Amino acid sequence: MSDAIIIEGVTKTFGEKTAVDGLDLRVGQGAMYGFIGPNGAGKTTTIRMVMSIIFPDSGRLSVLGKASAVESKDRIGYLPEERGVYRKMRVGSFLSYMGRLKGLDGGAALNKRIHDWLERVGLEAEIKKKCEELSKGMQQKVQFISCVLHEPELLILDEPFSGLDPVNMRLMRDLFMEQHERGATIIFSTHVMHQAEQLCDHIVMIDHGQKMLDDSLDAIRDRYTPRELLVEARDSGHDLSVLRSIEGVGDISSLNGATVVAIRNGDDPSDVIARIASSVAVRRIEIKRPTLEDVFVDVAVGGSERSAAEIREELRGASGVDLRQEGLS
Amino acid sequence: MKIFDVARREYIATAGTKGFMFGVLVFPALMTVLIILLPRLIDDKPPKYVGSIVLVDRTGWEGEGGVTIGSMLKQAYRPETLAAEHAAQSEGTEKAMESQFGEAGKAAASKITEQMLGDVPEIDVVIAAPDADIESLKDEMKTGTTKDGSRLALVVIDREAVFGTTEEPEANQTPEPGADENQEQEQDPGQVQEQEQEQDEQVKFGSYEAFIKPKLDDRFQGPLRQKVVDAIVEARVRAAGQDREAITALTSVLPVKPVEVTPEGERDSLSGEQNIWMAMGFMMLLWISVMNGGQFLMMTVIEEKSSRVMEVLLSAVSPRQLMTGKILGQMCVALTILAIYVTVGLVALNQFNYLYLIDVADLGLLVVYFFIAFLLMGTLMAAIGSAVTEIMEAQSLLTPVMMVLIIPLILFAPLTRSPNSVFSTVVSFIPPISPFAMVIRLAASEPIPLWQIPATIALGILSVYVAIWATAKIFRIGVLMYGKPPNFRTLIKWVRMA
Repeated sequence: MSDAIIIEGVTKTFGEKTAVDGLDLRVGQGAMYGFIGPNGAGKTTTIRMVMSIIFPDSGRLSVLGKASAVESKDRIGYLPEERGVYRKMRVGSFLSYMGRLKGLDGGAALNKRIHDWLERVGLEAEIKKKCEELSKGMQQKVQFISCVLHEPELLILDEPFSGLDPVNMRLMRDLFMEQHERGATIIFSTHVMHQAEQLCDHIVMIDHGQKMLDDSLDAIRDRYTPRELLVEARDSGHDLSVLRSIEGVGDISSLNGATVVAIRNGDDPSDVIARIASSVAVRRIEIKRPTLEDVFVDVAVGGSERSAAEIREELRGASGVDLRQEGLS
Repeated sequence: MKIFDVARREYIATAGTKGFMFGVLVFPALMTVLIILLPRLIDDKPPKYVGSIVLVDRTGWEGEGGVTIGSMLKQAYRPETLAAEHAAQSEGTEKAMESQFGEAGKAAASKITEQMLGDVPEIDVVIAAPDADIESLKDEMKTGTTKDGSRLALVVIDREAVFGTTEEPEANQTPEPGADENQEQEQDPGQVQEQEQEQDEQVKFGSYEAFIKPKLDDRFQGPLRQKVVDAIVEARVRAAGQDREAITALTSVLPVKPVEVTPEGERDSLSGEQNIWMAMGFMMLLWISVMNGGQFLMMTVIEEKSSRVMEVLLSAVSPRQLMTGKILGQMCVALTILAIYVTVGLVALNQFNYLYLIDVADLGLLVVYFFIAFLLMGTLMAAIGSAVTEIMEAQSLLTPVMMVLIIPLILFAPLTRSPNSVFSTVVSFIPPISPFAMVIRLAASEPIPLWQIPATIALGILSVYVAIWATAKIFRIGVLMYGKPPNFRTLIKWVRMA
């Protein structure tokens, strides 16, 4: 099986700023790749280079077996971060225009396809409306249709969820999964870690133009063995500070009513659990699975002088709204 | 293929909007309607004047056979005389037009004079007593209309209009017996005083006064003046014992038309007026279509950038394809505008029988120069559009382009005056101005040296090539550049960079 995308030693600078710095990446066919990293990490620049919208200063790119995306544009669907529609154009004609630009033959077959797609996302009544009459979420659906209309082999989605409400977010996610099941290779970039966590089977993490992490989601979780436990006392008034005296327990902090217990290096988490369970009456005790955010913070701390708290703050600041919707999705 | 999809959308999105319809189509449509309707409207001839003119002749002159100024004026206003004058006038115009424009000119002239002159008026000349009360005669004019036979005018001929006065009474001596009485009256010092000028040794003649009803146009006033003056002159000549016809023969020389001598032979001189109008028309056609098309091009690029649809498009087509398609599409829009205006122009010229002024070869060259001008200016506008995000930001970059576009307007006069001067030739070889200068010179009177046409076209193609090459580079960088609008220096840097 050949790789859908091969990036080798690609560097791109804008004036003083190095946006992408010697990036290497291979995306296998049929994979669902998450491209994560904070704002300004170089995700969009990398994607634009993959799409041959901008060209790298050095390094080599291969997309769907071709030297550049120019030769295989009709086989790629691309939802850019900076996306828009022709405000004065009607939804139907816009989609038909995009379809023809993607190499589809105009005519009844294309019209039927457009109609079917609009029906699926619940916009069949809007086909004759001007794009400017649609809400932002509706426009986003239209844009999504425009990049999957030609059934691309490779789908590149740059921040596909930004600005969507939870209902539409779920709808979009289902549509992505459907494309994935159809066999399309999907790359999607986001700065919202849990979105990547929910969708992707492979994660690439970029910060300051460099690849920090490139592995399958499971492997990443395995690598970052949990060092924290979540403990909830049966009696909510119970003071859990006594846990400090238990062997292997490090710092104790509280999170949403539960107590987070750090495990000292060298101690086996299961031993610590057994010791806690035997000394305190607990309602809940579990290993806290590392979220991508934790992993990211962990990785980012290693490569910079910023503290974990600062990086967390930065991440939340950038994606505050999306994080709060976690519970809904 | 994708280029044509882009061009097609571009054309529909621009030429299919209401704004385009109004902006581009309504004006020529109005013009067409006016041009077609105007002659029909003029067919509604001006009103026929019916009424009387009152003459107060204070000279008291009476020639042989009882001829007076009044009788001459009566003669001049007889219906037969008026009808003959009417016919002669339109015939004269027709002849003049025929000699200049051939059969077509004659037909146009007869139509136009027919409409201009209107019906032959019916005018009665009433002779009032020499001492009639002017004020009461004036009052009579205050009632009635110009068509119901009421008083139209009052003409008062001065006492000295025929004989005049001099220092020496002898000079006023005439052989006419009736004149002696007047002469005596005139010499009454109290009455003559104001007209006499001591130092003047020449005969000083009096004039006449005319009072007319309001709303009488030149069709009435012109002949009235002419006829009264004629009658007075006739009276003077007769009073002096001269022969009017002999004097007319002595003082008139038939007008001639200069003949142009050219290497190709001799020909009648055109007045040059039509040529200037043609040159103006050709230049404006080019100017309006290029300006409109170029502006549309800039606007759609800016729209694609500001609505952020640009990157979506670039995922399907390359910047070069997009740019080519857009330029092609807008060129068709500009061609549509050009075609509409040329059609309206031709219809108008046909309507007025001026169609022979158009040379088909010139029209062909107009289209060729249009392509050069549009591709040159249009691509520049596309480059500007790609570099900015908002229309407001485009203003500063647009100013130099507009200044270049205004140059042909300023140069219009010198170019038409001497189309083949060194200056005109040099200007024709400055790329952005070249196509405009050439169409002006094409329509101007002197033929352009033949070599200059292929030479300027070749130069045009070369400059278009350079413009497209530079624009492609600016476009590629500009379309995804948001934020601070670049200045010209930055644009040049982009051209060098890519």
